[in-house]
Amino acid sequence: MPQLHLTGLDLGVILAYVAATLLIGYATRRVSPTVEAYLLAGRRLTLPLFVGSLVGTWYGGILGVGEIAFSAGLVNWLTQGLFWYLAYAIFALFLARRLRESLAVTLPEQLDRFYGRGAYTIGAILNFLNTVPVAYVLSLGLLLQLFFGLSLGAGVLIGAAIVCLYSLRGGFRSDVYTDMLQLVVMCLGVAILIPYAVFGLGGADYLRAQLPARHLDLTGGWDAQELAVWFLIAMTTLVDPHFYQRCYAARSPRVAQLGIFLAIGFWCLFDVCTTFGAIYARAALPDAPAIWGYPLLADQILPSGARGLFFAGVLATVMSTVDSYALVAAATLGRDLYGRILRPSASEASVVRACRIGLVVSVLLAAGFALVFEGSIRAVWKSFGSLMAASLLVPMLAGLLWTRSRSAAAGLSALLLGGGITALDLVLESFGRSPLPGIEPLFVGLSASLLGFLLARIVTRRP
Amino acid sequence: MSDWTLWLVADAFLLALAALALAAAFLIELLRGDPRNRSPDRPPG
Repeated sequence: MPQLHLTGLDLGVILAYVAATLLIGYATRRVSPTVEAYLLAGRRLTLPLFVGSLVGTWYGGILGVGEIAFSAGLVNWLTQGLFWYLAYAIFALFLARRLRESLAVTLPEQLDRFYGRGAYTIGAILNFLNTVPVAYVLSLGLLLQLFFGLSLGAGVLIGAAIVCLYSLRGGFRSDVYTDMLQLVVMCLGVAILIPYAVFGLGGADYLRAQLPARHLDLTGGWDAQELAVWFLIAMTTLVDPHFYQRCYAARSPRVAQLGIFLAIGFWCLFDVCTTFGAIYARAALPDAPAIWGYPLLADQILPSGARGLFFAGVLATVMSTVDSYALVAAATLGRDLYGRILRPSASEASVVRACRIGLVVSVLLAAGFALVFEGSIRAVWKSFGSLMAASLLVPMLAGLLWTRSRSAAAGLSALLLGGGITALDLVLESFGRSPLPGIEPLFVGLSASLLGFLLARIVTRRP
Repeated sequence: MSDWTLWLVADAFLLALAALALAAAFLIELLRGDPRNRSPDRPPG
């Protein structure tokens, strides 16, 4: 763990940000009486709230992005930026309006409408596993440890408690309102580093002289297959539950569609700042650990106060993601699994209560996993992501875009084969016994899912 | 210093400006009390 040089002013800025977040959570604490109010803020997200919430929520892995840019250079912008913008644009063009018009509440519920209860139950369980914010709660704990010298356990638990405090009662309304503050802090935080780097360290000549040869190449010397893997990973946006939740909550289909395009503009500007911030870190601090290079550069070149803003921005980036993930996990537990599968007759009030309990459970579960699997958390995170994408991508897109394809057998086959084959390949890979070494489990599972869907569709098609 | 890194500074400036503009739009909306932005559980008026 590196040592930062935070002054009283820096710590004051960070604490002021945390206090403001808690204050907004307090101001929006009123318990919503209905499920739609608690989970979707009554479907009244206006354009600024929609954009602020989507941008803030989506960008949580700032330490990971900094690590890739530090190690590999500009190719980070291609694999973590451009590919994703394409996925967002596809989402906006083909899915956003349909989702808003569907009036569903959660992503798994959409599976219920397309393929029935079996697909719904499996989708809900996968969705819950994918959205328990393990990696982000761990990041939160690490940051609090870094700033205040706490133990990791204390950092994780305090971070988890803060998130519960400001989002528990108000639900999605507290989430989106705090997202707006977090968006501003994170944008100002990453933006402030750039002029100090360019004018303090040097321009293009400085970077060319200090960086490895391929660091400023857009493809970084990566081969086409490697780039294709990242492209496909970016396409998992098309089944991302946070995009779905915000589209369901938008005031109108137009807000959902236009909002995503505006968000792409934010991400584009933001990614340039983080990528080049980390590239400058590589040039100035080549021996720093890759994951800490970007924050360490900020620690070294920013003056007191600006340094606090940068680190408050990093904290805001992670917090805005933790709360949204926890809320989606809570919605899956409270609404899907409890309110519609286990107790379909449950009242609105008891489902809202179950969602609030689900939020605490998911945050505590994330904290527990974060502490137990500290060393291998990234692998666990990636595995759940692959499992989710391989099982959901085919049935969800087919259900939305190819309405004639909807059959329970096809949906279930795609879900079970995609998830089952991916899980099997992941397990075999961890023992070094994958039958298809060198091919990502996501690809294998996705192919099985597509094949299963098409075969079941052909077999069950009415003459 | 006429090199492309000046575009990075412009990018950072634009990002900060866009975030503040979005927050301002949200605050104006909030202060005007746009009924479409109100929570459904709040009684009208």
